Amino acid sequence: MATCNLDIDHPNFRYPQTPSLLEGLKTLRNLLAQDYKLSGWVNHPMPRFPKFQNKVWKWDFRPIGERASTRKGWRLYAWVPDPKAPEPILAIAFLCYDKDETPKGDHPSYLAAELKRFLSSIRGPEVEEPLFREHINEVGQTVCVCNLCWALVIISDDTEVIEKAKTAHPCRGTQLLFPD
Amino acid sequence: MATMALPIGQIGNVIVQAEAARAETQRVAVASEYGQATFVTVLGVLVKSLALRRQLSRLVAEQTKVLKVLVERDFSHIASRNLLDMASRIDDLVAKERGLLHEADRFDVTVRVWWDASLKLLADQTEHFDSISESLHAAADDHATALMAVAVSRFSTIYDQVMR
Repeated sequence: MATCNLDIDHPNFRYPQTPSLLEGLKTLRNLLAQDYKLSGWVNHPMPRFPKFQNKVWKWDFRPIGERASTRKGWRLYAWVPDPKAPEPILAIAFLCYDKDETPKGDHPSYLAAELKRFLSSIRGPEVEEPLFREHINEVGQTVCVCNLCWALVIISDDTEVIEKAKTAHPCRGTQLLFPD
Repeated sequence: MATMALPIGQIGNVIVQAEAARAETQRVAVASEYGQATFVTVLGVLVKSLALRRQLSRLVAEQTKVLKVLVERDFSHIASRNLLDMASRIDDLVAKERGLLHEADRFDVTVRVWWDASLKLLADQTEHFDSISESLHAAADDHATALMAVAVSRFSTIYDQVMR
């Protein structure tokens, strides 16, 4: 059994401030202090981002005392700076949502929407970044995402097409800094 | 690409078991809805409830094994089409088990007490499967993966700056 220190106090971790959720988070934290593989642990795969592989963990948890077997509860994502660190392994919660609000099917769209909401809410020291973030997908195409509105700008292997899409993107011309 | 090692067959087996358990749940429901509580009907419900308890307990044990395989597997190098294939099988399983749990929730607590412990475990396992499926779908989706990378990158940058 490997123990985990779940940090739920990071200022950029925002969640609906309901007493039941807060209680649920504290109980989850106590549970993971015994063994992080409890409570539906999943090591979220990060293909094509080896830097982040094994560093996104998630758990499911339910309201305290909930008996109904059909009540779904919440899902929590945490960033793990060093999964091979001495125990307890630090995991910093950054995203939490109520699974009852998730639509049936189309998981990626819902997760993308939650991530966009998270990204637009985080605050921190200003850091200049390029307007577009790119990576290569498994079939060699460039995946281009806007660093301001988080929209998918284009997926293509044609450099000219990618440049045209970037030029046409409405955020072009906006200065990009972390929101302050 | 260790595609052969993906537990597709094991997931198929638990889908079959979940279907059987759901059918048994319906049989218990039909038996318990007879108008008169005679000795024969009560005995019938009892026998079916015991059979269902055994089935649910087997299903939970089998799923524990499948979940162990899934959480220990590194999916980061699996081709997207294989990830989606497995995710869709897991979605199928989750849908069947949610149906089963919904059916079981309709029973009176005096009947449900026979399988309550297994149902609680089954509910947690169903959500665990759903979470794994969500991750597989997201891993096969370029936009969701890119946004997760952006989120973690920014979050870690801010964290490092604050901690420094």
